[in-house]
Amino acid sequence: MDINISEQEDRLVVTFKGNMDNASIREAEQALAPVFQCKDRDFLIDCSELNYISSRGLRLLVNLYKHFRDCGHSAFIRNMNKNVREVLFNSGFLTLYVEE
Amino acid sequence: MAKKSDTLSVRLGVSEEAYPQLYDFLNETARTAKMDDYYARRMRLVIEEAVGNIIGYSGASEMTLVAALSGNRVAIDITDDGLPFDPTAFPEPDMSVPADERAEGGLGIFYMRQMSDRLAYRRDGDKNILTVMLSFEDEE
Repeated sequence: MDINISEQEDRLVVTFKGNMDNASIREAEQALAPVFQCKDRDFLIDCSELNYISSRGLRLLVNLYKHFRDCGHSAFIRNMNKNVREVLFNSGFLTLYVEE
Repeated sequence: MAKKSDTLSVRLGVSEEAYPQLYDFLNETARTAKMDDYYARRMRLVIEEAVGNIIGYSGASEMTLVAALSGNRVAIDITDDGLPFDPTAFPEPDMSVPADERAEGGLGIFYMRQMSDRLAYRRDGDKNILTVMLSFEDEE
């Protein structure tokens, strides 16, 4: 999985590309370490190239949400495919993110 | 069509290194079945969660997956030689608790139940056998 981190206007934007599966989750956690240092802005996940997410990937998204919540900021998500949206929605975790 | 009665199988080690081989097996199963991508990803989620539990907690030394295709259904037997574990008897996570306050754990089994047609477990000698039944639509 490829992860791109950028700043757009007043938000930190993370773009996932590929599959957030059990094989790639450790690499993803390492790549996202700098995101957990960000405390001064809102956060957006762009899923336009994310094919698939497992429950371990979902837990990572929950931990990202909690970090920004604890810093007093909002977490946004966009461009989920049907599978990714289903995984977040069915477990209730989509309510954590603002969908745009 | 060839898919109507195909059977595919793979034997996997019980470690994180097994995942790429698992994904290849599931991709081959989806290709053979001419499965629509949406259903292929649902199959992958159910099976990856089951295999993740075996890798994480079972103490097994090996596992075998056999996928039997029949029309627009697939039954996948996952056999391991680990400690007895019946995921069908595992308690559901408490979905009434707000998502960010919910305890971790049980989420994988939640998806296994939710995205399969049926799960069936049996203990046969020193083996766990979990049968996952899924239905799907054809690729367009």
